Amino acid sequence: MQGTRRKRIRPRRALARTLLAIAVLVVLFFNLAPIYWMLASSLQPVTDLLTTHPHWIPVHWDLASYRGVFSAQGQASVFLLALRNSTLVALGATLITVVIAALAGYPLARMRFRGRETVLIGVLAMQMVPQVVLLIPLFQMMRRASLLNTHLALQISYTTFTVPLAIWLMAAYFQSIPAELEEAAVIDGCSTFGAFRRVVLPLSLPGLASVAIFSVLSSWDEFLFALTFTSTSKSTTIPVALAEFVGQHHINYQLMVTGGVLATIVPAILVMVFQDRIVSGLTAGSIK
Amino acid sequence: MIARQNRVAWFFLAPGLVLLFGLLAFPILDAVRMSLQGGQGGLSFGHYSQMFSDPEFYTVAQNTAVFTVISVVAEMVFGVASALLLDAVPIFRGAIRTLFILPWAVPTIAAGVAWRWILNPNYGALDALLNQLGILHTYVGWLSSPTLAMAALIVVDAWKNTPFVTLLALAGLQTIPREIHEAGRIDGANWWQSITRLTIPLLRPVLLVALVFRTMWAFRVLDTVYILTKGGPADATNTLAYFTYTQAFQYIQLHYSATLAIFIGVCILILAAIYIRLLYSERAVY
Repeated sequence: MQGTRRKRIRPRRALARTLLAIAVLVVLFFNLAPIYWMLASSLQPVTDLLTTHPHWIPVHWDLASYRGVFSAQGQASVFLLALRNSTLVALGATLITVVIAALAGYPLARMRFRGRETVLIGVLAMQMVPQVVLLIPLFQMMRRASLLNTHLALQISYTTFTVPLAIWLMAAYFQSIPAELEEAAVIDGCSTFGAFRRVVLPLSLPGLASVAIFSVLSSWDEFLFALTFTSTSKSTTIPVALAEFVGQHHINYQLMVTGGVLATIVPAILVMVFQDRIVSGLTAGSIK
Repeated sequence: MIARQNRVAWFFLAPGLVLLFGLLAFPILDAVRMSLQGGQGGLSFGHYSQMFSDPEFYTVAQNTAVFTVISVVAEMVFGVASALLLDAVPIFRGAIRTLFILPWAVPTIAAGVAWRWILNPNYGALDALLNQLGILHTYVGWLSSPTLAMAALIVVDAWKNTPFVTLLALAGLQTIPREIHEAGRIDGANWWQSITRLTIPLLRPVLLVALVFRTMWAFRVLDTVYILTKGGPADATNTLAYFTYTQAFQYIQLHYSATLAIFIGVCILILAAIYIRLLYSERAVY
C-alpha cells in the first residue's frame, strides 16, 4: 500500500519541482538580464557595442572605459568626482539621520508625554510629503543661505525623507528592548539621557544599522534634489552625472553603461551583505 | 514626575522637531503661499483655475493615473507571485532571494540607463534578441512611440520596484504558521485554493502596506521619466511630478509649479487617508 502511494506522488512532485525551477529561472532571467547586460556592455570595446549582432557573452574584453573613468580623462572625469560626492553626501545624511532618529525615537517608544499622539501623526505625515512640494522652497532656502552646490545642502535636504522612516524604525526597535535595564540604571543614579546613552544605545546597534543602511541606500539613489541644488562637478552626485551624460547629443553608450555599473556597485553590495537587516527593518516598519 | 517626563521628552525630540518645522512644515506653507499668490501680491485662486483649465494638466494627470494603476497592479501581482515562488524553493533560498532583490538595489537612474541601452532603436539588446528569436523582423523604436514609451516606463518602474513588494510579502509569509496550510491540505485544498483562500487573505495587512507605499511612490514618478523619455514623445509619458518640475525649472513658472505640487500633495493625502481608514478597519477585524 505504501509503495504504490509513493509511486503515485513522485511524478507529480517531480513535475511541480520542474515547474518551480523553470518559474524561478524565468524570474531570475528577467531580474538579472538588464544588470548583466549593462555590465557586459561596459566591458566590451565600443565597436562591439554599436552593432545589430551583439555578443551576449563578450568576446573581446576591454577595460578601457573603466580606465577612462579612473584616470579622469575627458568626459569620464566627472564620474570619479561624482562617486566621491555621492559617498560624502550619503555618509553625512546618514550621520545626521541616525542621531536625530535615535533621539526622537526614544521618547516615542518609552515615555508618555503630552503631544505624543501629535508627534506620531506628524512623523507619519512627514513620510507622505512629495519631493516636488519641497523643491522650490528648499531651493530658494539653499540659494539664500549660499548652500547651493555644497554637500551640506544635500545632506540636510535628504533628511526630509530619511528621518521619518528612521524615527519609525528606532521607535519600533526601542520598544523591543526590555525596559527593566534602563530602570535599573535610573535606580543606580543615572539620568534619563545617561541611561539612554549607556544602556539603550549599545543594545540598539542592529536597529541603528537598519536605519543607516536605508539612509545610505535612499541617499545614493536620490536624484531630484541633487539635480536642482547642485550643478558643478565638485558637488554633483552620481545619478545627476549619469543623467546629464545621457542627455548629450552624442551619447557615448559605453561610458553610459560604465557609469551605470559604477553607480550600482555600492548599493548592490550593501543590499547583498545586509539583506537580513533590510528585511527585518522593513518588517518592523510595516507589520505593526 | 509627569512634568519632568514632558521636559525630557521634548529635549530628545528637539532636533527632530527643528527638522520637521524647518525643512518640511515651513517649505510646505511656503509652497501653499506661492500657489495662492495673486498678481498684486494678494490672495488669488488664479493659478488653480489656470491649472484646471490647462489641457496639458489633464493629459499629464491621466498619464499619471494610467501609469500608477498599471504599474502598481503589476508590481503587486508579480511581487506576491515571486514571494510565493521563493517560499517554495527548497535550497539556496538565501542566494536566490538576493538575486530576486537585486533590481531594487540598482539606483533608479542607473536602471533607466540600463533599460535605455536595451531599448536602443539601433543597437539595443531587446530588438536584437527578438529578431534573433524570429519574433520580430524589424527594429522598433520603443521610446519613440507614445504607447510603447508608456509601456517601457511601466516595465522599468515595475522591474525596479517589484522586489520591494516581494520582500514585504516574503516577510508576511514567514509569519503564517505551517499548520494552516497542512490543515488546508487535509481538508482537500489544492495549491491554487491554498493560495487564494488561505495565504492571500492572511497576507492582507502586509499587502495593504505594500499597496499603499507603492501607490504613493508611483504617483510621484519623475526620475524614470527624466532618464527614459523626458516626458515624450509629445507628452505621452509626461507625469504630474515631471510636469511640475519642468514648469519650475524649464518654463520658469514658479507659481504654477507650486500649484501643481500642492495638487499632487493633496492627492497623496487623500490616498493616505484611504489607507489609514482601511488599515484601521483591518485592525478591527483582527
